[in-house]
Amino acid sequence: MKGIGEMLNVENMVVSYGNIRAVREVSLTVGDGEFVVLIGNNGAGKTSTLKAICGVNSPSGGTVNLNGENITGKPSHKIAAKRVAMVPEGRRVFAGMTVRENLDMGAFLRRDKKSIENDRETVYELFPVLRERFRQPAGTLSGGEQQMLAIGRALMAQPQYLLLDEPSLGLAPIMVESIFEKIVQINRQGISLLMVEQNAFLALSVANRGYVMDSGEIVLAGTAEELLENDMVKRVYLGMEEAEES
Amino acid sequence: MILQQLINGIMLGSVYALIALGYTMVYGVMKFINFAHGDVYMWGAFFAMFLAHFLGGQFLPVLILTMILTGILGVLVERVAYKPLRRAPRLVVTTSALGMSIVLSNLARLLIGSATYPMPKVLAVHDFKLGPSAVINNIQILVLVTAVVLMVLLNWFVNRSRYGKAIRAASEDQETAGLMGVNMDNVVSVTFFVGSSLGGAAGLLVGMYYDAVYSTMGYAAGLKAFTAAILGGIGSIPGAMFGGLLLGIVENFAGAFLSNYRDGIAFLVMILVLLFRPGGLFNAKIYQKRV
Ligand SMILES: Nc1ncnc2c1ncn2[C@@H]1O[C@H](COP(=O)(O)OP(=O)(O)OP(=O)(O)O)[C@@H](O)[C@H]1O
Ligand SMILES: [Mg+2]
Repeated sequence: MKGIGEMLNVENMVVSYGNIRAVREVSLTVGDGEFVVLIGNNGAGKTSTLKAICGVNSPSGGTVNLNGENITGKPSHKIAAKRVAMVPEGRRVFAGMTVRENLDMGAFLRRDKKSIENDRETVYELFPVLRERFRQPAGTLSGGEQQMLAIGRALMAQPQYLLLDEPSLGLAPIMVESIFEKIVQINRQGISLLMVEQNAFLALSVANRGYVMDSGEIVLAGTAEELLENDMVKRVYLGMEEAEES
Repeated sequence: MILQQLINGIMLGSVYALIALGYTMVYGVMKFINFAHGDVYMWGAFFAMFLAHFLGGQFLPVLILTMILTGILGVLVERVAYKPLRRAPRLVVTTSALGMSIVLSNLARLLIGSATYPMPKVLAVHDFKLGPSAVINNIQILVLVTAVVLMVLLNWFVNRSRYGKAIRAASEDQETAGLMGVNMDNVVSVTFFVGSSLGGAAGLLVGMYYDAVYSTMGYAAGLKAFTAAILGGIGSIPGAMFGGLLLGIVENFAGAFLSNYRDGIAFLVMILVLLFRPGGLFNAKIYQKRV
C-alpha cells in the first residue's frame, strides 16, 4: 500500500474561531514513517492545527493533502476512514464504556473480525494493564492508563498517520517515560507520527524532525538535533538561560 | 387487590418504559427533549390500527410493520424539524419539537379524524384467575411479554451491536466518536428509528389494551413517559426502563386508593425524586473523567 511520495502535507492552513485566528498560514509535512513533533507554548495553536487536519474543525484557508489527495475540510469520520487516527488532548476515552468497548470503537470502521482480534492482542501486549482491566469502565482507569487506552484505541484503526496531542499531559515523569517508549515503538512499526508536546526536550530526543509554533505561526523548523541545538529553542522551550550568552 | 394493582402497574409501567426509551435515547445523543415523541407514539397506534384492519389477527406482522413505519416517521421528523438545527442552541431545537408535536397531532385529526377508534381485534380475550381476587387476561400477558422482549432486544442492541456502541460513544462525546469514524447523521437516524419504533410498539400495545386509538392519546402518555425518563435519569437506558415501571406501579396504587389524584401522583413522584436526586435515580454520569 505504501509508496514513495506518500505524505501528509499541510499548506498555508488557517484556522479561525469567529474573529480569533488561532492558526495562521501553517505549513508542515509528515513523511512516510516519520516521527514529527510540534512544540510550542500554551495557546500557540497546536491543538487547533491537529483538529483541523483530522476534520474536527474545518480550516478557513489553505489545504491539507493526504498522499496526494485533497482532504481539506472533510468531516472527521471521512478522514478517519483514510487511516488518520488521533489521540486527542486530555485522552477523551469513553468513560462509561469498558476498556474493551473503547478499543472496539477504535476499530469502528473495520469489519475484518480476525485481524481486529489480532490488533487487540497487539495492543494488549503493548499495554498489558489494558488486558487486566478490559471489563472495567474506562472512567475508572488512572490517568496514565487512560492515556494508554486512548493510544490503543487509535491503533485499533490501523492508522497510517497517528496524531498525538500532548500524550504526557498530567502524567507522572515515570509514566511519561514509559508512554514515550511505547510511542517510539509504534513509530518503529511503520506508523507515521505527528505529536504535539509541551515537553520539548523529551519530544525532540525521540523525534526525527520538529516544528516550533508560536502565536499561531510556525517560527522554526528543522531536524530534532538542529532544534535541540538552537539557541531560541534552548532559551524558550528547554529553559536554558545560559544559552543567551553563547 | 394488591396483586391486581401490581399486575396492572407492571403492565402500564412496561408501556411507559417503552415510550420513555425514545425520550432518553434521543436526549442521550442530541441533548434535547423530543416533545414530538408522544405524537409519534400516537401515530404508531394509528399505523397499528390500519395494519390490524388489513392483516387481521396476526399480532407479530402487525407489531413488526408498525415498528418499521413508526421508525420511519421518527426519522422523517428528525430530518424535517431537527437536522437543519444541528448546531443551533438546544432551546431552539426543543421549540421545534413542540411545534412538530402540534403538527403531528393536528395532522392525525385532519387525515383520520378526532373520534376515538376501536382497535381491530388481534386476539380473542381470555381471562386467567390468579388467586381469589386477581385476574390477568391474555392481552395483558401479551403486552407485558412484548414490552419485556423488546427491552431485552434493545439492551442487546445498545450493548453488543456495532451501532449500539456508536450510539453510546456519541452520547458521551460526539467529537471523539467522529474521530473513530462514526458518522453522526447515521447515529442520529438510527437513534430516532429505534426510539420511534419502540414508541410505535407501545402505541399498538396500548391501543390493544384499551381498545381505543385517538389523536390526542400522545399527550398524556408522552408526558408520563417523559416523567419516567426523568425519574430514571434522562439519558440512561436502564433508568428509563426502571422509571417507567416505577411510575406505572406507583400510579396504579395511587389510583386505587386516591382515584381522583391518579395523574397528579405521577408528577408528585417526579417532583419528589428531583428534589432529592436531581440527576434522576440512575444518574447517567456515574463515571467522572479524571484529569
Ligand atoms: N473552540 C474555540 N473557540 C474559540 N477559541 C479557541 C477555541 N479553541 C481554541 N481557541 C483559541 O485558539 C488559540 C489556540 O488554541 P489551541 O488549543 O490550539 O492551543 P494549544 O497550542 O493547543 O495550547 P495548549 O498547549 O494549551 O493545549 C487559543 O488562543 C485558544 O484560546
Ligand atoms: Mg492543546
